[in-house]
Amino acid sequence: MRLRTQLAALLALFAVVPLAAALVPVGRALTNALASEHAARLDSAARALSGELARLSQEAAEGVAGVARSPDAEAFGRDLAAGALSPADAAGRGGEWMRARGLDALSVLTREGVVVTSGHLPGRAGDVDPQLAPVAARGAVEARVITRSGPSGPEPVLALVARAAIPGEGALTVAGGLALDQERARRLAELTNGEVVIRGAGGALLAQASAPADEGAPLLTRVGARLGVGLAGARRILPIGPADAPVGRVEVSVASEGLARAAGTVLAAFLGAVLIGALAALAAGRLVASRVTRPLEALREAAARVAAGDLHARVAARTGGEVGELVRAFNGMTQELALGRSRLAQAERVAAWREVARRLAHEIKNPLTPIAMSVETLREAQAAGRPDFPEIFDEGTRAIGEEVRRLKKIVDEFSRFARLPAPERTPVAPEELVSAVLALFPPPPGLTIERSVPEALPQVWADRDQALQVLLNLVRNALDAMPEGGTLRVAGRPAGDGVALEVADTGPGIAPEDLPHLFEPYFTRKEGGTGLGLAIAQRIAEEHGGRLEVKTSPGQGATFTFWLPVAKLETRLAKVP
Amino acid sequence: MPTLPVNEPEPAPSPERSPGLAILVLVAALTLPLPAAAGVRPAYGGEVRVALPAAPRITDPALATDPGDLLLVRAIHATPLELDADGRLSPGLLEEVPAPEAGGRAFRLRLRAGLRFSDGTPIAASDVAAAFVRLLAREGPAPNAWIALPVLGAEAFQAGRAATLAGVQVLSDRELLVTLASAMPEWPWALAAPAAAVVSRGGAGAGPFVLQGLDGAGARLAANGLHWRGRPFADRLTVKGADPRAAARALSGGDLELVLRPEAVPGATATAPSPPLLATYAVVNWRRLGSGAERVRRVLGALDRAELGKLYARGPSAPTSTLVPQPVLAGPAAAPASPSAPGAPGIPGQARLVLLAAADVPDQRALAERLQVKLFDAGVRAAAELEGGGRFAARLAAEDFDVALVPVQVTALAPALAGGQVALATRGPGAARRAMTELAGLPAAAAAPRAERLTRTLDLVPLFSTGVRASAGPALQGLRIRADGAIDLGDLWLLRREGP
Repeated sequence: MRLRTQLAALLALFAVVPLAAALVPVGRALTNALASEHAARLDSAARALSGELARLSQEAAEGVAGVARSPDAEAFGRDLAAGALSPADAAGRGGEWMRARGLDALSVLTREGVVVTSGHLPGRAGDVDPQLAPVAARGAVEARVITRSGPSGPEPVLALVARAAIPGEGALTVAGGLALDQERARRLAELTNGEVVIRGAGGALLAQASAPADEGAPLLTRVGARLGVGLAGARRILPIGPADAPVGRVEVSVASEGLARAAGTVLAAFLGAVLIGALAALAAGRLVASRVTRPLEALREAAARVAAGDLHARVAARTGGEVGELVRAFNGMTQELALGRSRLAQAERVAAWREVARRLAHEIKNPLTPIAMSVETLREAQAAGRPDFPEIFDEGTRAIGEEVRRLKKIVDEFSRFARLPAPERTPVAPEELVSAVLALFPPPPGLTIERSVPEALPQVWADRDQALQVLLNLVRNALDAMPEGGTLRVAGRPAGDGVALEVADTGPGIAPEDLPHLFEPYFTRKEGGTGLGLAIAQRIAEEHGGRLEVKTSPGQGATFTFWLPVAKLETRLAKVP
Repeated sequence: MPTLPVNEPEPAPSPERSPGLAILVLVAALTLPLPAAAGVRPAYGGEVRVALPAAPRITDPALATDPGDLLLVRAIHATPLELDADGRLSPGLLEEVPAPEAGGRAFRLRLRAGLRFSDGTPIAASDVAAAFVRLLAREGPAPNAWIALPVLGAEAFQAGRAATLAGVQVLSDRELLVTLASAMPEWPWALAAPAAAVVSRGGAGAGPFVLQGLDGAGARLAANGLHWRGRPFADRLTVKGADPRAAARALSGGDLELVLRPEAVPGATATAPSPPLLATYAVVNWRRLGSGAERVRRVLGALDRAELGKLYARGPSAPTSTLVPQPVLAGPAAAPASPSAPGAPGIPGQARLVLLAAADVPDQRALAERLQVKLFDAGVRAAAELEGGGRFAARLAAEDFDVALVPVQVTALAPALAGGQVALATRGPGAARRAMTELAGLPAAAAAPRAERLTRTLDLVPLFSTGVRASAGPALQGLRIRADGAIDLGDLWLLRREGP
């Protein structure tokens, strides 16, 4: 990870950690506050529910009493007793009274508890109602599970019922009340703004309803609900009926979605602040780190350029302090390095030319001695008047001429080395180069030539004649190294952005001590060699942007690798007339 | 008895006695006329307005089964035979009550001379034959097909295997020969049922009134001067539906002349109740209930039918014990005690079933609610589903129920025919043929146990049958309830107010 990133991350961490650490106590405090608020709402809902149940009880008692005291009921009892009302006609009255009084259950019972008419269970007429018959005719409200007619047939329902006598001699009573059914549960849920569950004595679910949920962001509600774990399960239970033997119960729980959403909102805001703080710290950290590390980055890049050989690399960053001193020291160092290299190159060039002059003088000096000796011999023979002077003259002049030609060759080669023309490069197929060179060397007896140059190799960007000269030199050297025969291997392969042409022999190889001087001018171990062949070959390679390398082991032969760059498409196109 | 108008029917030479002797006795008690103005001759003119529990909708004799629809059919159409004041068969469109031939397998029907439909077209023997064919129509057999089922070739014709009804031969314009598949001496009683009415090809009837209009509010009719008994007394007849309170208000306010409801209208002059011939049967669907059907049948069979009718039928009622309603059967043997069932100990507590009932027939809802409670007490929850006319019939035909309460207005007073009518309504044509075959020609004493056995075989639980009460306004005269519960609307007339 880069220093700038590390610094920015560190600064962001410093900003986030305190905020994150504060989240725990804030969340806990929020949860406690929510729980308190929820408990208060739950108590309030339970009070409202209790009050509503009391009101319903009173309404049931009043409704039943109202029916019992009505003139209709009195007339009903009278007609029934007098036989003026048929049982079937009487059976339909209970429903009328029940609906008129807004009751959910109503039956008219005889003294024995036989149903004369029933609104909530019309088919019970003629039977003793085991559920309403035991209700005391005192007007007091009791809770009972009664059976009433429903869409799927008779069904049990928890009800608040009362019973009142109809005045007259009929000894009839009215029993009925209000059901705590699904519709009532819905109304109670709306009243308490929560969920109401009505259960029988055994816990059997009789009705259940919830207040309509508030519209809100479900994500915030879920987050808040997760924060306020335990709120949803809280409820209050109100037993229905006698305290020692309740016949049912009503459970109320308050919707906690609103509180949960509020908690979620707070938490989301807190997390948003943390996120924004972290992003701000990250941006600030990057800005500060950028100021601090910019000179260092420039130094790193300049050092990389120096390492790549560019001793003119300089750091332009303006900064003070230790980093400024470091930048200035670096710039001074590279300046000194460049100067030192220039001087060294100058010295190397002088030394090289001295060496060349020394070797050239040595080469020239070698023919001069026989020439001088021949001249001296001729002069002495002429002075002595030797009768064999013509033979001596002929031999002497022939020797002088031979040495002069040798001198001329030395001069020509040197001239070639010194005046090597600039390459005129065109795209050249490597396989064609190799074919042209090998055509000049029919394999002598005992020597095998192995050739492995694919035709698909890309064209190289080279001066064909100069490249041929390099390969000719390498092949000639290889053949010279194997006078007793062996294997000459010429291969080509892609290598990076260029093509490597290898010329390998199975000769004795090159002595390790000769390797450092192998490409120096006038270094040769070959009889009659000028010592300029490999020097010229290396120079040609370098002037093509390529290189010439050798690998050798004593007794294992030598492998020269001539690497040339590939002709790029645009270059090739530019060359097309 | 009111004085008959012109074309007083000739007395039947030898009317077949109804096997239901009890019904004749009952009718004798029920047909007490309203207190007519003594010495006042019946007057023509005026409008008679009748209220029923629901407005009639159907005028086709082949399709009408509801009591209100049957009343309208009787007003528009005429039947080959009638019932006289004593509950005996008497000639209607026929010259005489046909005597059985070929051992009770054939009947020669001869029309009166000069009969015409209300549109003026003559009534021919082919029209009578066409009435039988219509009942056996291949597309949707009529609910009243029981009349023609005993006719020779009816089954083949109904199944599409025969192009004509082999047992009906038109001998002349006025005479046809009806041959039955097997002997049934009491078959002429079917010719007095409204379903046997003769209808012209144009749909016109030959009854005392002509339909002028029919809509949701009711039917409006005018007198038919071409009726075989002559023009009815009233110029117009209106039949509509009304709830009990509205009917009572209208009757007391002089806006109605007659209310036909199960219960009497308070303060109105009422006849004795009609014979309880609207019988209700619980049909247990074995295919859906499987092994539970027997248990359900036991619960229903254990019901106290007398109490059931008393508590849940607003009109006159009688317990029904067999396929044939009690009033049709005669003698003490026909009224066996309700089978005592020990309850239904094996019914699973969670069992649920669908209890189908007719929504537009009086007392069916109350009856369904009672059965719900009794089944619930036995551990079976039943969802009562009440359906109106067509839907009820469709669900019944498709057996889309677990238990169905099927009300049947019995219109034939012979046990074999009544049994066939009930069997057709509850179990289809096959059951109807079987019932008629088994009960045909039996004396009343023998018919009762056979009917009881048939009831068990057909998985029917008879419940009770009900009648109606006729509550009349002070001006209405001539009201008489026949032995089959029908009213001769043509006999009704209105007292005229004396001028100032």
